[in-house]
Amino acid sequence: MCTTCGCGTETITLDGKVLPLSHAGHPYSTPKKLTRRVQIEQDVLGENDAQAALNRQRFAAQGLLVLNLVSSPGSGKTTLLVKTIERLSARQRIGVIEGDQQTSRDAERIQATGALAVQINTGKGCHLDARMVAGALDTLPLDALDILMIENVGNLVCPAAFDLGEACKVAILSVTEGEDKPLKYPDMFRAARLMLLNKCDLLPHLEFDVAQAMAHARRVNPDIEIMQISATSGVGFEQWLDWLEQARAARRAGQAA
Amino acid sequence: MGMVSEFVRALSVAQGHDYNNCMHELALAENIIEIVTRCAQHEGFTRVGRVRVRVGTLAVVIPEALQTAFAAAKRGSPAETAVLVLESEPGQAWCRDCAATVVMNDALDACPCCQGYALRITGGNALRVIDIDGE
Repeated sequence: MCTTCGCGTETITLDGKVLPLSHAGHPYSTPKKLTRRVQIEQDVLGENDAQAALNRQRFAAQGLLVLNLVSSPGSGKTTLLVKTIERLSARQRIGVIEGDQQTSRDAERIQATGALAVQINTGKGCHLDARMVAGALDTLPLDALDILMIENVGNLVCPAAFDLGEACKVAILSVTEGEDKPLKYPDMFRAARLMLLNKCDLLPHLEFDVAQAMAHARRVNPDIEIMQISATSGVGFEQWLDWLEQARAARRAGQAA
Repeated sequence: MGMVSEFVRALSVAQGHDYNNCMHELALAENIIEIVTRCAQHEGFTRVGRVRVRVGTLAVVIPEALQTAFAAAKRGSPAETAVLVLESEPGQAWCRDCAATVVMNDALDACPCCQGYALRITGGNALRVIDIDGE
């Protein structure tokens, strides 16, 4: 309908003859579409954060200590988990959520220790998100666990942005990588509470500068705790296991409170 | 996941970097499309125009990568006509040694007052949809 004169666009006939449309003196005008602006102010990661909060509530209700293990591929996360389970399984019931793009090889390595493990395959995805973890939780008997380790996809970039509901992130840096990794990937080392410097048994064969690596990590995260370990030789492992047991005890105390 | 490979290809053409291991921007772009679509349905928009998103300079996001990802993610969605406008928000940190809030625009910046690194990020690390234009 013309918003000026009110006539329509249909062809009007009189005794079969078409009458010319008579927008005399003005052009045919349509109602103007009004562009509106809607305020949103919504976090793009809001939905992930909300799911992470639900996961966190679930962990707190069980008094479960949940760690999110992050590193580059090949830093020794899975070996670290296997050795940790072997050393701790008499005192702590440990479950594992494995995140990889493809294959269930890591979950199988964990299951070989007798521990419960589920594998998430992200396909092309470069990180785990809170929803994937929630799905995995449904398949694990959480009340039969003391500690849940989430081994994230090997990637020092993307997992830093996605909260899974964990108590904290643990970054693993192996001495076969560069000392400058914390400077190259500052977001991840800033997001971590603990950095495990792994494969320290290889130090005699390398030119890796431990003091510099630690200084770099502390530059991006002044509060980060650092331990030098080797999952293969067992060097420094007592300190890591003590840390785990203390963190677990603190969670249980939090649950009781 | 045709969209992913398309996105990675577009990125490797557009950038000189290796992004094969970094495409959480696609997940972020999909989240933005979801927020926009929900808003458009709620408001009865038949066409979405400008979408403003605030990107903190300390957010774990590469703005160019987000633009490329958004272009790939919006295709075939109700937000197909959306134009992503990124607005930068300055970073902010608390310096423990100065006991003051200071400007921080790069993750490796030192405190501009004491040159130290006792910094805790307090702002400019978020990614938020500000508003959406539609008709």
